Amino acid sequence: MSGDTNSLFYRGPSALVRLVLLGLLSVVLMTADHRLNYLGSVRSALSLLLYPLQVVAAFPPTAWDWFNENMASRERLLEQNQTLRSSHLQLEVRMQRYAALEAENQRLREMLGSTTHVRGRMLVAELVSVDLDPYRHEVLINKGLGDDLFEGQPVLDARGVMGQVVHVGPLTSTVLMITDPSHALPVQVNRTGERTVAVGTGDLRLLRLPYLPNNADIREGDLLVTSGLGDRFPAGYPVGVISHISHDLGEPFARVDAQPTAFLGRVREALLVWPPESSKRLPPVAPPMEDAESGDLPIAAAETTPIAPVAEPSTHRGIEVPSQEIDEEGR
Amino acid sequence: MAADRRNSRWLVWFTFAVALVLSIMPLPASVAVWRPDWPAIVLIYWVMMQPRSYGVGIGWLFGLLEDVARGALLGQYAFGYALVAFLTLSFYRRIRVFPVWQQAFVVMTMLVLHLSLSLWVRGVSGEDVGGWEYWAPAVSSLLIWPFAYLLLRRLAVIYKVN
Repeated sequence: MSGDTNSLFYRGPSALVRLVLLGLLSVVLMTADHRLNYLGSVRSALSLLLYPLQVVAAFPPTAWDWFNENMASRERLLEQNQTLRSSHLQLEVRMQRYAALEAENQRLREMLGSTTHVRGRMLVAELVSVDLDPYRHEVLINKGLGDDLFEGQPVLDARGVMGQVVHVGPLTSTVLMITDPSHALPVQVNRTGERTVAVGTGDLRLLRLPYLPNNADIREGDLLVTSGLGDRFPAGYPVGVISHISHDLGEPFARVDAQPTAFLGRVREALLVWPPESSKRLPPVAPPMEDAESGDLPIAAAETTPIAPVAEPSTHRGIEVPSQEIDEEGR
Repeated sequence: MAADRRNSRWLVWFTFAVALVLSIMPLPASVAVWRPDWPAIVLIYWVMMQPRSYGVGIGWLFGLLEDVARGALLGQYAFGYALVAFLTLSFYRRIRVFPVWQQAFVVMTMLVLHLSLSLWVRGVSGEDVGGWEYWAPAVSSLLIWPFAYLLLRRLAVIYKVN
């Protein structure tokens, strides 16, 4: 900091003055960061500087995974292969039905003149295994500006909505998960179409729905899907399952808890979604199934309007809701 | 002399880097609560030992890096570490001659102040910090300080940093 460390007498501004100045600067920075989102570029530059350290920090778990995978016994691999194959087959079969349903849904919408979401581009990102601040539910992913990420981009995992990108760096990006206390997500109860907002609680396995009136039609086990309102998340992706409801007659709203369907604490990979070119009209014919290889999970948007009879419970897409399983088996 | 100084600078930056890595190293959630505040420990050591070269400014810069590394609000750790560096700078003559266990308590006190400051910041920015676990790093840093101190002093002796 100072080149004159050798002289006997310490001069320059005293430590207290420095502390006060830097403290003020910190407050300015924090305000700018929190309220105004001005500091993206500062953060990006610093995050580039920190990237090697993050790689080093993530090395032990990465190495352990590598070791595990490489040392796996033949039987285990065979077994795993078997299960994957059978689950793949099941998914393929379901996909066929979805493709037909989606096509039908889009034709119906086309007839009604309403636009809907087409599936957008997707990209798989890996989580960088470093621990971020324990009181913020954020994770680091290994994709950045080079992959066209943008702030506010939805992030999914195989089972549901994970969160959204809040900061894009040159090589890594930060994802805010839906359970962060500062996160709120517009959702819809899949069974009834009731719209509400799911708010994070700071607990990885808990979402809260604070704005449902006491007389709302909601039950434990109901699936919540994104409603697409707010223009940030595509509609129809599973968010959580209602886990607990309590009515307090003295309160205007019911206390409703939900458990996120995404494996928030355990995921290794996340799916980044690009919205389709926004609000452009659909082509008259629904696109064929050729994009099935993109690993993309089409879901017909479950709208409240009675025009889309498509979105019966089958939109659950293999989420483990007991009644749903029975339904799938019974077909 | 010049070579020593260069040596010293390398060692200090290296230990800072190691502390940063340790602070983001993935741990199981139950253990992560008790993660000592490594950067603060390293910072306190170097400010205490070389108060003329390392002070409030370095603490602040280092905290800013920590902010980015941990995804905290920019300035949150920076302010906290600047405060820690300031306190160390004010009392280094006394702390240096304390026995190690007594130093450890001083370290804990400084970390409690740092945590209080960042609790205030978190409160203002609307973050919820559960219960007592929030203060666990101060306690674990107290427990780890003697070992960290001995290790750092050993390194300083080996690399002739004074």
